[in-house]
Amino acid sequence: MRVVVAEDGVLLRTGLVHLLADAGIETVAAVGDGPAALAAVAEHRPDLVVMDVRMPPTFTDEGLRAALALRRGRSRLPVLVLSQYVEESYAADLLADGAGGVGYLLKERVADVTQFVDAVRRVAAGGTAVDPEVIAQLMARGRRNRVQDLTPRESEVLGLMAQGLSNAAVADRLVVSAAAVEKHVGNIFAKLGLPTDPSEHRRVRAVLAWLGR
Amino acid sequence: MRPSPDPSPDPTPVADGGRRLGPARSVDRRAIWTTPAATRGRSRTATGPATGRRTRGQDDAVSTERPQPEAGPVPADPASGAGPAQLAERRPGALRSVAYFVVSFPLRILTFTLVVVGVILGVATVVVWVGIPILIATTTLIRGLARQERAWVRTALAMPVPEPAPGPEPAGVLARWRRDVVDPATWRALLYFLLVLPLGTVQFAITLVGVVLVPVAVWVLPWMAWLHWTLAVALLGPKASGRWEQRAQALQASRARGVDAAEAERRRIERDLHDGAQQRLVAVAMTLGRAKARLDAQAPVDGTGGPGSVTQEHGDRLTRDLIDQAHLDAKLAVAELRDLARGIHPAVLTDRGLDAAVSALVARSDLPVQIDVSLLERPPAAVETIAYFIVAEALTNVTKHAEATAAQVRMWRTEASVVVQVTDDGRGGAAARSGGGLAGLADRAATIDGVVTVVSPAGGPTVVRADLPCSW
Repeated sequence: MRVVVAEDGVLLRTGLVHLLADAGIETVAAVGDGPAALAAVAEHRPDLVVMDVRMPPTFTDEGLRAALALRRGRSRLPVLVLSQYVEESYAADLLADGAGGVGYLLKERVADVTQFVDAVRRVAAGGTAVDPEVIAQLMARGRRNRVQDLTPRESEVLGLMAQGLSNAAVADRLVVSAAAVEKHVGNIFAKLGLPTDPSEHRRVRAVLAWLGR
Repeated sequence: MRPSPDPSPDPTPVADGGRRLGPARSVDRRAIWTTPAATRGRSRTATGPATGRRTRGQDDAVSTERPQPEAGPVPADPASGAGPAQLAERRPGALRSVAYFVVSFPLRILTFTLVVVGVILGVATVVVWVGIPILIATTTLIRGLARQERAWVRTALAMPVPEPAPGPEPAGVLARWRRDVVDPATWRALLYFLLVLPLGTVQFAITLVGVVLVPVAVWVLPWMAWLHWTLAVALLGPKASGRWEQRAQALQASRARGVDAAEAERRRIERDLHDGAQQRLVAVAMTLGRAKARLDAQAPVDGTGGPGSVTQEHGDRLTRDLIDQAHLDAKLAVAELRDLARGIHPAVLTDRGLDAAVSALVARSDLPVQIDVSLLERPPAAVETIAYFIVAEALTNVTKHAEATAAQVRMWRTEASVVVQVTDDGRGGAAARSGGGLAGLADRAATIDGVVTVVSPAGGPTVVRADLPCSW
């Protein structure tokens, strides 16, 4: 897999490149701002862009805007956005187009190497990676709806599912069998009144949309 | 401080102004805490801070009435740069006084003659139009002489005499003349020049005595010079109300700068935390995470060693535990820094404005909160920040104390302000303790002339409302 890394902090950028290299992922370009990222993408045609939100020149949300621009492009390039803080409204923007291949994570998630690499691979494969913090915000809001009908285990599964994890990954994370997870998922969908959909990607969308409304 | 028991002409108008300003400010500018419960004499009230505030307001008023001018909010003269405390304590030296009175005497005769002749001649000939230019010239002369006299008092007595507040500068000789004639400063200066001829004659005579009798020169003349200075300040300086106006304007401007600076500083701190410390900590956590991953990858290989590797295996596990701990701590530190930065200034507020920031707040709240933000344009940064933190604090209070089942956040704009209102259906009786979060926010709102009102009768509902004036 070939990726472009856009991150203005040198320490973190170098670290990211090494981390990805450890996992056998090749970084074709590592740049420090939004415009350079767009240029690097045009030049290298990578499989994925890892993008910081706050970068020069304005230090506001150029990373996010660059990511949205990349997503709007014909290539629909998978983008994993990293940020020092996550906000639901940013996530909503990123997920708005309904297409896969998008991730939105807190920067500090890079510290959990295995999970981070999983997220990178998932997004590159057209999946979704939404930060648990965003999900927590959404779940807090969902509490007023029917999320409270779920058992604690079921809301745990719902949270992990909303982050974009597959059944197998959820089972792995919770140290239970895949069959148990499937049972939970079935119950959740029944309780929330969502149509069961075999495609995991569409399932994430449905859950996020349900939580966000 | 000042040996004289009677207040000097300078602090007297100051005290007047202080008395007017003190209570007025405590009513109009500071946050007011009102509760229907309080007015109806029920038990739960929010009068704690209210009384605290009122007392402070009274303190202001009282302090201005004290004889020591340094205790009251007497303005430092912008023109002189010297505080009034020093002025009241200082008297001109004997030699300076002698020089001033001696040199002034012939000047007084000259200015008196010029001014009186000018005025009489001008008024007498005004019917044949010649008087008009003479009067214009005399007016200009009076104002010029007043300027000279201020400079002369400053130089000779080394005592500052502030300039009167400068009016607008209209184009055209006649327009300027009209402004000068209407300006009370001109008439006060005229009065000064008429007064100081008889006064100056007496002063000159006493000075001559002082030259012969040294004690008179040493003790009496500085006092006389000081009295003359107070007369000059009263008649040639700005009017008392004008002084207050100037002072109020200067204070308002400096406060606005202070508020903006504090706002910018908070943003800078937030950014520094995110881009500096947090960034580095994330890098550290990531490095530790990579180390962990490597150890994990090696573990199965090392674990199969012979009897000699038992201690090594033990050491490896210890190392791994230490790295695990460091990894965990680094991640916790990052999360704490993130919360800290958000508490100082939420970045989403800068990036996306109140609606998004308050929505994020509400999403973190445990309570169902309905939001209605109808602001077409973004208000100034300071207003946004204060509005945000008021909502944050109000929602925290609702969650903690109100036993409410729902809350509502509304924001809308009026002619010249942004109104923020947080309502809950809780048990009411919210008491805004002084030193509490809401009282602190009311103080912060007061820095932009905002008013925070808490209405919380026992049994609810509670309404926290902030009116934050701002110009778009």
